[in-house]
Amino acid sequence: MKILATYNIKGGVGKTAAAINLAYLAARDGARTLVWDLDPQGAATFYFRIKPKVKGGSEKLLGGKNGLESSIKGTDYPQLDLLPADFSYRHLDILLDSEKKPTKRFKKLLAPLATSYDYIFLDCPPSISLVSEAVFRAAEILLVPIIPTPLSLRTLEQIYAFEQDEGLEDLKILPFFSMVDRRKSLHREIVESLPQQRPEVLETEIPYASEVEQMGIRRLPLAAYSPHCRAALAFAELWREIQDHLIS
Amino acid sequence: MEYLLPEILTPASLHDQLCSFAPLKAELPREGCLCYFDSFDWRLFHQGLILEEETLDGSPALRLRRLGNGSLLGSVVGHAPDFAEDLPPGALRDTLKEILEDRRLFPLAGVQGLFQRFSLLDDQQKTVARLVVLTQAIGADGPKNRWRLSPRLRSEPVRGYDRELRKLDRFLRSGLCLETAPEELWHILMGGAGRSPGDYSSKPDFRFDPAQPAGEAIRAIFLQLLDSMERNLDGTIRDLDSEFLHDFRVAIRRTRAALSQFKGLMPTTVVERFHPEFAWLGTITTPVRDLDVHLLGFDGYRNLLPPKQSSDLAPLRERLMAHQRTAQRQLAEELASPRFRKILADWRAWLAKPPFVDLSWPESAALPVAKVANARIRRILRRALREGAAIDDGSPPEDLHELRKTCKKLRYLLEFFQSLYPHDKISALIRSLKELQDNLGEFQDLEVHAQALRAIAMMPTAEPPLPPETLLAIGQLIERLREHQQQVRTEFAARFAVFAAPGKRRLVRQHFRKEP
Ligand SMILES: Nc1ncnc2c1ncn2[C@@H]1O[C@H](COP(=O)(O)OP(=O)(O)O)[C@@H](O)[C@H]1O
Ligand SMILES: [Mg+2]
Repeated sequence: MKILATYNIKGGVGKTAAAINLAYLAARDGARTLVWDLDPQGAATFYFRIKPKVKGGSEKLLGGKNGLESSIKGTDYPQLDLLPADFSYRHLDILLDSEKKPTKRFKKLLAPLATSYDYIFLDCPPSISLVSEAVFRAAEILLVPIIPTPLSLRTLEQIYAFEQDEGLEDLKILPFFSMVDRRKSLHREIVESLPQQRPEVLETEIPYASEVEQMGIRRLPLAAYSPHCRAALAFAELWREIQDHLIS
Repeated sequence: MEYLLPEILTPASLHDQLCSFAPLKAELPREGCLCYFDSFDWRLFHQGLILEEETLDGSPALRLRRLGNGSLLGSVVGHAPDFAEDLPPGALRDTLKEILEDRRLFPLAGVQGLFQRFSLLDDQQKTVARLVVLTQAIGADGPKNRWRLSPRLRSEPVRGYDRELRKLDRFLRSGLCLETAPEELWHILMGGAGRSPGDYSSKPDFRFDPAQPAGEAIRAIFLQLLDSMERNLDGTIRDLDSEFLHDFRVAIRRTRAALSQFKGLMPTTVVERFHPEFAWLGTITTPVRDLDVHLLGFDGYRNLLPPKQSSDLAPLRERLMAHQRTAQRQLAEELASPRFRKILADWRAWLAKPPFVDLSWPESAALPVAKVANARIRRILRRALREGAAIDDGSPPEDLHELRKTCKKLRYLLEFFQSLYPHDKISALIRSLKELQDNLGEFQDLEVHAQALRAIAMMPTAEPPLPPETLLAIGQLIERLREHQQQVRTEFAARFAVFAAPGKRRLVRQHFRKEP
């Protein structure tokens, strides 16, 4: 079982779009895949047309003896399951704080799923909190979508700084460009220059595309309705690149 | 749940009736086939698993499921491989590799037809259950054997929507009055292909009544071993995987051991005629097996050397493979020879006659089998204890080799006659014996490997020489094997001590008495 998280301190950068579309591709290739929608706003849950509700809320989820298993829902796609968001996730931080080892909690909760899933995607809420820390400890790979703007670069540096401070050596941070608009010279410049400082930035960039925006209206993964558009091909390429990192 | 569809229920009317039950999304019917795979010895079935290759409109997917509830353990896009290791890296490969090891997968039976999928939707247009309808179905286990299957429908769960599935199943049973299928498709197809799942096992299964005449039991043992040889013959000749030859040889060895253990209870002429023949079979099958063992252990070899040097072994592997191919060709020829065919045919002809009609059987064959088994086991077990006790750290390898042979005989006897003894006692005895045999076997195998590698390194001029770095690596490897062999040797005393624990002699007195 490989655990990947889509994360950024900022919202609206393409975390959920990446989690949904990459998970869809993984499942389509035959891998048993789970998305855990950790954002109380429940965008991923909405895309899959599933009720944003877990039995007993966060409390049961974290503390109950059933663990996560009983709240998992199958999506419309074979091998692709979702652990839905719940409105109570907005208090997840406080709840985690009252646990014994809060930052190790997710890792422990996910461990029993090892025989049931090949990939787990954690779709994170924006911000740095106990929740994101617990995610960092659970995930093997942190996928960080960045819109090529100076401000985004700053948040990326903050994530690296956090990694340093917290000693998260086991976590592989893989930033990738999201919502890239090649017509903007600023976007072009940053896309060219950042990889020189940060060679681990993935080569594939996700273009800004109206087809992706459409996901919210259609409530489907991109490849389910527009498999050949540029953005869909970019997600497929991105997934190949990530898999190479998982093997090496 | 699986249901039978009455022939009169047209697809259109089924569709209408389903729509009246709940919002429905229907996919177009698609030409497709399902094919089920397992190893020759049914390893997946024994784990309660089925491996299915589904091909819809020409694109294949491979799934490992649990038999019964159908839950998915792994899947990949693509065809079924010959061997687990041919799969792309991932959970499915790991799971299959652990179960199948080096056994080949065979297509056992399949079905082709029209598959139509339906999704049951909720008010958000979200799938909450699935249906698959299979019509115009033809079962097959090859191009020749084909049979018609009645149309069927299967309801499939979507995780977390159990209530919806229950409601659907209730509707199918009560609303549509469908009859549940008495057997799962997998079982139906295996039945249609004339296969009985689990019908081959490399473990012998002999059952005797203690009072049964020994001659009868002996004949039953030989017959089962002969069956095993015949069942493994084709796979051995075609080298489908290395286990065929292995099982073939085990049956030969057991037959030889039985011939010498029971010679006083059988017609002398028969023993004299067949013992040398089975010895010959042992001899002609040895070269291929030895090379197979080398090749199976090759990854282990590589791990014995530093990573830099391990790639130098590649030419050795090529060479071993070439030798294996040559030896295999020779073996296939021998196994197609009149001499070989005649051995098996004559052996079966003789075994076909029950002892009481053949007057050449000695009177001793009428003794109760329990008495005979006790006597044989007692003798060999005592011999093993005696030989083992005489071995100390300074004993020569030949002594260990002798003990190994004695242990093998004992093992076969225990396996032949285990049904005559309390299960827990006999299996504990076999377990401790096996531990000891593993140690002796490994010691001997390492000896053989080291010698064989030396022989390959110093190959006669007929073959092009191996590159110097490979020869160097082989030299290193032999050294590592020798070291390992030393270590195995030091473990002998402890293993033997467990086997010869004080309880053993009491066990002998208790269960292998002269008068049962
Ligand atoms: N590559 C893209 N092109 C155009 N719109 C996008 C793209 N990626 C995401 N969006 C849109 O931007 C919004 C925010 O994306 P989302 O993936 O939800 O971000 P996050 O999860 O980081 O908050 C959504 O409306 C989404 O449809
Ligand atoms: Mg989001």
